[in-house]
Amino acid sequence: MTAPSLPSPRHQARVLWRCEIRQLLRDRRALFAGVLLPALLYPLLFWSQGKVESVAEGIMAERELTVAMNLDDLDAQLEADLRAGLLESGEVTLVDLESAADTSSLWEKEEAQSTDSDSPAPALRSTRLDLLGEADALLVGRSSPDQPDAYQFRVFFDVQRDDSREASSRARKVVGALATKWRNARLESLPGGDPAAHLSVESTDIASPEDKSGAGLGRLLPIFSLLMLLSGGAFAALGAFAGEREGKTLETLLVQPVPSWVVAMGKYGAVLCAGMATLAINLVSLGLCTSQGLVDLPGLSDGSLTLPPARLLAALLYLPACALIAALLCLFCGKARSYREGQFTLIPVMLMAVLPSLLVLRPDLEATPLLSVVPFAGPALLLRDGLAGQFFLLPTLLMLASHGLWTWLVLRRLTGVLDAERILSSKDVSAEAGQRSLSAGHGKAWAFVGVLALYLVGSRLQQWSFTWGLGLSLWGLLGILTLLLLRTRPAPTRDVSRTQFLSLRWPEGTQLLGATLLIPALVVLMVKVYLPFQSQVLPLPQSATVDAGLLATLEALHPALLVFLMAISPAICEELFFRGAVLGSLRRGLSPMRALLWQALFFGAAHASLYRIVPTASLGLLLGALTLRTRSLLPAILVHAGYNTVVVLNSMDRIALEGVAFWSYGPWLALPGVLLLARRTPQASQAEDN
Amino acid sequence: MLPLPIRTKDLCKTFEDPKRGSVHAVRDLNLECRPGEIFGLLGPNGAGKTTTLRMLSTILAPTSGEAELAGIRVGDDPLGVRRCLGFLSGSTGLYPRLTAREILEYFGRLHGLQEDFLQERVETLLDTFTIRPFADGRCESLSTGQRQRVSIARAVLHDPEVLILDEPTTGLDILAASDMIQFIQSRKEAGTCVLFSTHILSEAERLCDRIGVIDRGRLLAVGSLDELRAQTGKEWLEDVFRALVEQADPSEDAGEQDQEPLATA
Amino acid sequence: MSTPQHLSPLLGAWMVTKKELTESLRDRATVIYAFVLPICMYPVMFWVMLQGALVLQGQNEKTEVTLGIAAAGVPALEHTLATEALTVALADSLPEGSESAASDAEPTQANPLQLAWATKPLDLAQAEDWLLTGNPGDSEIDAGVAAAPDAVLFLEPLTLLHTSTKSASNLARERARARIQKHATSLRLQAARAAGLDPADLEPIKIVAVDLAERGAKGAVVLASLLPLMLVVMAVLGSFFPAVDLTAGEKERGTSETTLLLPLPRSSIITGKILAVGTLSMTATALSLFALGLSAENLLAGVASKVDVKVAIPTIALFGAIPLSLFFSLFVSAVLTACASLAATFKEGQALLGPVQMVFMLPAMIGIIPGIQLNYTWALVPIVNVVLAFRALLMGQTLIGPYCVTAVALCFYAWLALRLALHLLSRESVQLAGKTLPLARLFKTLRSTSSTR
Repeated sequence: MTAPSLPSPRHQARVLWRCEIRQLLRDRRALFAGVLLPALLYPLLFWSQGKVESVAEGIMAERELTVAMNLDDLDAQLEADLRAGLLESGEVTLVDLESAADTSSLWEKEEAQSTDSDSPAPALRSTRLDLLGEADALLVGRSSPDQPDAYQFRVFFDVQRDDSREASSRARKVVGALATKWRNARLESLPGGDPAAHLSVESTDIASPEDKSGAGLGRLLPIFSLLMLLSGGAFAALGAFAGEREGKTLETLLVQPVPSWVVAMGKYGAVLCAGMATLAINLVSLGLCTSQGLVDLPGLSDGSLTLPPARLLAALLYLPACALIAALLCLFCGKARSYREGQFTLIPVMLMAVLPSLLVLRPDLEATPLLSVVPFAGPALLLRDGLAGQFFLLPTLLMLASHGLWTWLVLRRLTGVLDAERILSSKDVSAEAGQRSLSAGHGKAWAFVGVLALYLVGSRLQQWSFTWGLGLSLWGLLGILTLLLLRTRPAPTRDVSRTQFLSLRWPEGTQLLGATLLIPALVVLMVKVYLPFQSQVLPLPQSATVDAGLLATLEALHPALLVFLMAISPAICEELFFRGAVLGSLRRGLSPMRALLWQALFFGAAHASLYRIVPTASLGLLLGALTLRTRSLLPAILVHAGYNTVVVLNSMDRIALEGVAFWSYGPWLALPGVLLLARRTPQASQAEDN
Repeated sequence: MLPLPIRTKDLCKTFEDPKRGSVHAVRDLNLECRPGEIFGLLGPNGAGKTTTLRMLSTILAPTSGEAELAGIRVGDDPLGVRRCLGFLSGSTGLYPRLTAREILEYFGRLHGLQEDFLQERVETLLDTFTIRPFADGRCESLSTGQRQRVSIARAVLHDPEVLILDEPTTGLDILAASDMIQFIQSRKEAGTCVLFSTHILSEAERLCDRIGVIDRGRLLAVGSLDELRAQTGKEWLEDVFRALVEQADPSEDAGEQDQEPLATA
Repeated sequence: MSTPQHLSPLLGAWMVTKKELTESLRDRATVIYAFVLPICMYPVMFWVMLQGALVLQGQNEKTEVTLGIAAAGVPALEHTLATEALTVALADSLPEGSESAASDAEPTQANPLQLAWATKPLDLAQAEDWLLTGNPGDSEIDAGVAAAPDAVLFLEPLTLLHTSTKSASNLARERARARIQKHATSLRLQAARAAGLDPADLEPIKIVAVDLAERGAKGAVVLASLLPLMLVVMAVLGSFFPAVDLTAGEKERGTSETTLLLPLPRSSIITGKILAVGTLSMTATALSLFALGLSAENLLAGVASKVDVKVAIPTIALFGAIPLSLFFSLFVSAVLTACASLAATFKEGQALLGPVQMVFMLPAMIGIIPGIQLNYTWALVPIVNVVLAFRALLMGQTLIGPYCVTAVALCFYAWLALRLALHLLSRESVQLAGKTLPLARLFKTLRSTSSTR
């Protein structure tokens, strides 16, 4: 009897793929919900949104409004123009006020108060609203006291009433039109006429209508496609991975003579097909609705879509994004242990894909080589530009290559996940491993809380008062968090005393010295080498300069206080929390390298600015390494304090480092410093139990 | 005279299945259980055992006929019935994220047991069923045997007069099954009426005072093992069963599959 | 043995709620969904948007763009408009108005604009060609700039040609326009001073709009247009997961029969579940709002440092909002729980609730149409009434009558949903189903008579 010939992997993958598709097609309810329902709901959503907007506009345009006026002071012609303009703007009833006394007192009182003051006294407030009375807005005009032939207007309204707001905006529009007319007349009356008359620029957009509608479509398509791919792909991926795991059929599959990469590819194919099918159906539905005029797509300047069909080939540029998102879905659902867990992972996948794609909404960005490598952003930008008629060769090639790479990496990881043993042992086998991961999880959770607290609470405190706020955030917030972390330590780490946990011990003198010697090199590296580099690659916009008021506050501080606030406090508090508490928890659960990396990541994130992440994270790495090496927090505190002091004083020009030849000779001190630190100390050769 | 613990009269249950039309799961069932006896309901899968037991425990409502538990009509006062009843089946799971102790306290409070009495009772049950070692761990981390013990404790927490068990030993290993059998015997000693369903003949032989043989929704015969042997003239329970099935008219309901459409354990 | 007391149905429901909450809070997924996600989502999103905006703006300010200059009849440089002033104005690379406070030695060059003067006369059509193709016909371009221009300034009549579909073109247009404007303003000021006029005389008419309402009312109006819809969305999202978990999830965990054996009427059990779902939903909503409030202020401070957006929420809003949110939460929980109870597995439950969520969004959108006010008629329509009521509350309107009607209507609808849920869950085909009830059979089920209490 001949043995059956081994099927080729490709054949096996195809068999798997067909079986998956068959299972998906038989799940009619999920098919409906995931694939067909969006096709019905999205057009409905767009349509209703458009309807609501047009109804709203229509309602407001037809409202009958009453405007009370006091225009006795005005030039006759101006008054006539004003009335005519107001009556033309819609259904407006004009009421003339007889007594000018109330309105002028109102005007005076309102002028007497600067705009920054607190709410007026309640008595005055009620008088003011009473004056408005039945009218929706009160328009008062007077001639300007200090200028001849000039007028000032005030329109009083009540922001809480829709009609009042509408009346006020119409009044402003009419008066504004008159203001422009008068201004132009004034300019003409200058000797020689308006000097800038020849400088009135007309702007012409010579982009063709096809290009424009292509660009409009290109702004809409990437995100729409992602949502459709996610909807269809998710139902397939959840069924294929998490669902199978729950139904216990995954084990059965994995013990067949099929390599796991084949299983991965077969399922991936099914997920990709499901996603593309959903996308196709929904695009057709949307297209039909648009062509029938049922739906006005947002983002298209005029309702019509004139696009040469050949342009639609640009859609092929989006295929790598489709492939990548299907792969990501498979990976995340493959790691999920149950359907519920899998559902949760959809949110990060969606964010990961949609956020970069939002770049298409900026008209001042286009597909550069750098951006085309960014996952999802590259294809989106190339699609939009392709639909607008522009094709970039190099970015396209880069995008294809890079996204192929990302997809391949993700699928490789997926293959790793589909390991039978891993799947069966879903819980931690050894109790010790469980406890260690408990400690690491605990550290990560508290670090996360710390980052969030500093961002939400700390920044508000600093807005209220910089000096006190900073002090409170550091000593108060971080201090409390450190204590809380210590108190809630999981059981196995409680055997270690608090000071040991936080590495609060006195280090060797030589180590302390060695650490201090590193400071100049660190400063030089940051200030002279890295920051200039960063300002080239990641420039800060002009508007994001330091607030002048803040600078003034800092300048006014006594130097000792300045150093305490900006150098010593952060050094102590941040070290205690990040290198003491967080690193202490992490390293009792993870390898030293991983613990260092995680801790540096949190430290960088805590400073809440993309521009500071790399400098602070690398500082965090160095300080963490120092802590681990010397088993003590103090060298890190010293280095942190020293570094901050030098940088702050230097940037505020309080010290002159040029003279001390700091920049040229300082870094060399690092060499003996490193040597001192690298030395084996007597204490280190004893076994420490943590 | 004390009312019978369990009594049914012409109990019927019909399901509407879209594919198969009307399914008569239980037909004209007349059952009586005496106080303190162990009654076994014996029959193959799909015979109507689970449906009967569910009707008695108010989970399902009868299509026609009457059912009474401890004198209370199932249709009239379902809450009263549940208060006198302890029910256990494969599909009565435990809340996975609660601990065993919490589950017992929860059920006790809902039954209206007063707090200190409840605590005493819980402690007693923890010892009786040796649940104490794992009483404070979440139920999702317990093994099948441990879960079974917690389920039993829950069922007898309020000291019910009637205990209804649906295939209690399914899925248990040797030791756990043996524990279950011992427990059932202990209930008899305590004077509780126990009605349980099984398709394992050895259990029926060992435990039951009386056996009811059920097939295709009908109760074919009721009596002690000896009575059934006499009725059919067979020795082994297997043969007794086959004979009884044959005695029932084979031409009736030919070809009709009386599988209960609702999933059983 | 002491006699057990019979619990009142309400007390029973309360105990069921407690147990459901205990169970849910021990589940990591629920905790993340109800607590962690609401708190983290908005701050993270805002932070990403803010940092993204900064990065992109920084990148933009460094991008070099080229402005081509062409004139009809003469080479561009010889045109009358090509005065030194114009050249200087266009070549001024610092953005207007900002005195660079940088203490760096070299001033940073932001918004650079390169000029490319056409050395041959071009008419408008040729100038457009130049922009489109980079090389109009056979004309030569100034050797200094080899690349095609991103925008073209055609002299007399002064026209700025650009292509809106290209990013560099948009940038070039913005920069050129800004500089020309600046130059025009300075010319006018000079002329005014030369004629002895005060520059202010050039703007004879000024208008200022003064809001008579309390300070902070403006902020409240802004809130009133955003917040009600968001509250509806948050309430629905917050109820979604717990609703499915407590009904379909229970069937999956195999404990639905256990629950059915409780010596409580079914209505108590369902009420208990609905209360549990409502509690979780309200917690998630409250936390979301809290985090949103905190991070929105951060966002505003980061984006517009001097914008004074003070928000004064009228006290009536606080007093009225809490009971309204409670009732609305109850209503949403009841509806979602009722729908979710039709499903047999978690997966089906999720699929079922997707469309239900949409059903909530659409009426909510009606509520934000301006001009629709809360009155007795609208107070009877579910969902729309909540949106309108919140809007009215935030605007400080005391419409006590309609508020009460809204509250009562919501309670009524919640009760209706509860009855529906009860009715459905009493049907055995729903309670014990191994499969989800197909919608086609829903009506049949509602009419069927076999039920348990």
